[in-house]
This record gives sequence, C-alpha cells and structure tokens, in this order.
Amino acid sequence: MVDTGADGLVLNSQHFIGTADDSRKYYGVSGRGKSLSVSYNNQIAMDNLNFINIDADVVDLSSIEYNKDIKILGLVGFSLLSDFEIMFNYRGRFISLSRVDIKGNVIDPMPFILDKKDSLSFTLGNFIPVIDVMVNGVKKKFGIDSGAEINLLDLKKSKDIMAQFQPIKTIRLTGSDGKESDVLAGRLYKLSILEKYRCASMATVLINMDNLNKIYASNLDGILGFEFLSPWLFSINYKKQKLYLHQLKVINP
Amino acid sequence: MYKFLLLLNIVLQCNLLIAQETPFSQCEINGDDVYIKFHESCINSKDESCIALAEFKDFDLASVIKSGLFTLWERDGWTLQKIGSHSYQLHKKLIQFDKTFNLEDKFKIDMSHWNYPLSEKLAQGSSDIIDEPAKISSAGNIEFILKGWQKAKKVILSGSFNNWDENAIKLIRVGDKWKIRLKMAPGIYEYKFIVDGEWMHDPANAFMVQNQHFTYNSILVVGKDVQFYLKGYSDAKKVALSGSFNNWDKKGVSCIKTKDGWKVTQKLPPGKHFYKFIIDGQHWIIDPSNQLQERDEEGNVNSVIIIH
Repeated sequence: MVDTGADGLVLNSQHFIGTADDSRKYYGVSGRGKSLSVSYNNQIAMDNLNFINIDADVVDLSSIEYNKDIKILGLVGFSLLSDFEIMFNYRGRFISLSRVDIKGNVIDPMPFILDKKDSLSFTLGNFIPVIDVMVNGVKKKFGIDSGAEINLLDLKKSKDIMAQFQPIKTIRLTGSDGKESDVLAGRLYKLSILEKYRCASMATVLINMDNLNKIYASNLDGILGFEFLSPWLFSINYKKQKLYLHQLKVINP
Repeated sequence: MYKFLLLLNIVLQCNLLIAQETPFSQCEINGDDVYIKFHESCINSKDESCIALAEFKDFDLASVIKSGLFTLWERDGWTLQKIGSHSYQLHKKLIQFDKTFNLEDKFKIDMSHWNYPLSEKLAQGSSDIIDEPAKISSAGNIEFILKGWQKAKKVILSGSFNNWDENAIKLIRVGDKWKIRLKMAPGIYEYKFIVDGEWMHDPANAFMVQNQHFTYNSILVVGKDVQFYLKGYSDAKKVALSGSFNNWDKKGVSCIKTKDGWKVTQKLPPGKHFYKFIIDGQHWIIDPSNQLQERDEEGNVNSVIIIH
C-alpha cells in the first residue's frame, strides 16, 4: 500500500520477521514510543524501481488484510516516496512514480501523465503533507493520507463546521488498545481546495486526533484519504512541496 | 360535505398508518448531543432506511422496549427515550465519542459502513470482490463481441484494464462472431481489438476517444445503474445525457419521455462524474435538480455526480 501517512517502509509481521529494537525512532503505524521489531537492509522492487538497504519497521497489519481480504506485504511511505512525484490515478487504477531532480523537477516525464491544471502548496507534518482547505468558508488544516480510506475529522476542533458534517450512523471500533468505542460516521460537505474546487460530500468519521497530531507533530483538524483523493487526479511532489491537480480527461462541448 | 369529511378522515388515517409503519432512522448532532431517532420496525431491520441503527443489533432494543423499563436503561453511554407512539430515540453526549484513536485504527474503517446494506453482503464473503480489473470468466459480467472478420486467424482484446497486453485475451470464434466474456471490476476503460495484428476500435460501440496515435479507442463503462431525471421540457423533441463517462459525446445517451419529464439509466463506476442534458441536440443544460456543480477550466459549469 502506498501510504502517504506512513514514515517509510513498514513490513507486515504476518509475512516478515523482524528483530526487536527499542532504540529506533519511530513515527509510523503504531505511533512513537512502542517497542519495535525492525528489519534491516531490505531490498524492495516496485515495477522497475529498485530500493536497496531500506530499514523497515515490522508491524502487524493483519487487520488491513482481514478487512480488505487481500494480502498486504507492507506500506510504502514518505522516505521511499520523497524522491518522486507520485500521481494517484484511481480511475486508471495506477500510481505513477516519476523521479525528480534536487529541485523537484521531473527528470523523465512519462507520456501518460496528464497536464497539470493547478497546484496547492503543502507543508510537511513530520512526513505527512498538510494542506489548507476551506469548509464552508472556515479554514482548516488537513493531512493527506493515501492509506486512509475514509476521511478523519477531529471532534473537538470541528464545532465551527459541525453543521457541514451530517452523521449517518455509529461504528463500533475495537481500537489497537483493545478497547471498544463508538465513532460517528457521516458525510462532510462543502470542503473546497484553492477556494474554487469544491469537493463532493465525503465519507468521514469524527475522531480524537490527539494521537495522530503527536505522530505528525502538527495541529491538524483532520485527515483526507481515498475519499478526497479518488475523484480527482492528484500528484504529490515532496521536493517542491506541491500538490498538483491534473486535467481530467474531459473534452467539453 | 359529509362525504368530503369521511374521505378526509380516511386519507388522514391512511397517512397516519403509513407514518407509523414506515421504518426510519436518523442520526443527528444537536449542539453537544447525539440522537438516533428510529421507528421500532427498524430494530434488527436490514432496510437501508434503518442504517442509523445498524450497529445496535446486540443491544437487544426490542426487549428493552418490551420491558417498558427503557427509561432506566443505559448502555455504553446511550440512553433511550420514547418520542412517539412507535418511535424512540437513543441519546449520547457528543463528548463521549472523544476516545483515543490510534493511527492503525484508520485501517479498520472502510467504505462498507456507508454502503449499507451492501456491508451485510460483504461480511458474508461476497464473490463480487475482484482483485484485478478484468479476468476471463464464462460467468463474467461483460461480453465483448466483434461481428464479422470470419477470415481472421486471431482476434485479441487489449485495453487499459490489462495494460494494453497484446496477447493475454484471445477472442473465440462463434459462428460469424468473435466473443469473449470477462469478469470486470467497475471502472471506465478504453479498449481495442487486434485483428491479425491490426489494431481497430470496436465498430459496434459509438463511444470512443481519440488516442495519441490519432486513432480511436473504444470506451467501456462498467458500473451500477444510475437513474437520471430531467423534469419538464415537455416541448422538447429529444433529450440526451452526456458527460465525462462518455467523453462528452455530442449525441449523448437518449432519454425516454415520461409523464412529467425525461429519464435515462446510465451505468457509472465509482468516482466523480460530470454531466449535462442536451435538449434537441443543441442546448446543453445542467441538471436543475442537482445542486452539486463544478466549473471547469474553461468556465463551463457541469453537474456533478459521485458514485460510491
């Protein structure tokens, strides 16, 4: 899984064995401070891209495999992606990684990369791209996380936009700490980027962002995942710190 | 007068009956409080209108209500009140939802919760989940047919669904046709046939897009049926639907005239789609009943529909 919400390479302990390492600085899936299992000097190939000497955190990702009913070997996050411009083409069902130079210019543009229509600057919250959006005219900060299917919205910080969140139901969630809790699931309306691109309503859950904000050393109002990314064609360029919006393949009358 | 009152009485009683028997559930946030209002027929129901109550099956609300002691009942912070003859509401303080959420918890929430009652099917292990966009299968959902070309030795189907593989999908000759049936995941695909090495678009498919070689690729939309309605325009001779799903085809998909407007069913895959209605082949209009619109880079406003 290409996961812009993860720090680097994360391997699934269901398929890989790691060795314990308490000293390793870790931001990833399980949050900072947990005792970790680590796998060193891995080689990973994605199509014709080869990465060598990659250290990976080994974490149990069986819940994703169970929920999605697919084999997940691991997560590919920031440190492997930061030398590329990554385009998420959910319509075409492909992700393209274009290598960039030190200034962030794509070295060898691929023919199928569609024209860039607009761009949005982002900052990095440790390793997650953070953008400013407007929700019904109220400015909010969201992290872009391709590993999240549903958007997340901080419950306490969303009072001023709660009218734009229409709850549908509750979801019973057994957290990683084993505790069961209810989260409110609904749809978020009137979110726009660059003040001119209005998103359709998006599946969103209200949660407590405190732990995530510690991991991302940020003060995020929420996380935008697949629900946000999939209708558009976005590219993320970490060197230029730009989120590009590509031209959809539409010929207008 | 008496007859009128009797009729009115019958209508009111019928309405009341319908109101009482119609299952409904609604989740709402009101200030610091969360309410789930529901009709008692929603308890344990899989009806889509009962979605707000979907996660309360193990609460055994039917027994709680039957006992009559629901005013004393409390579970996981939820309390229960009666708000109508057959209607109730669950209540919980909004702040009680403010629980620790760890990063890996994001993997535990997926779209199935929004696709009720589809989630019931998925939970039972539906075979509809396809891990590759196209797979040869006699029980597949899409059949490709190329009529004629009886003297051809080999016909291949190639498209965006298999990275334009020039060998993988061979059509089988049946009488005067070449055929292959595939199990395809929802999506918008481009494809071509390769007849004895020669690339050609599908002559039976009017929807095409020009490619970088200045020839055409055929477009296939695999998705769920979506109904489009246009109210009025009874004087129009023809109305068509066109959008990003058919590359803004100028003819569009013909709509059928109804008593009070026009309608058409179009297959659409999950995703965001732009569309307009074409009146009498000339006037392109946005859908007046759809408030979701988006301006493109040329300043044109299009109606937007999102399919989940």
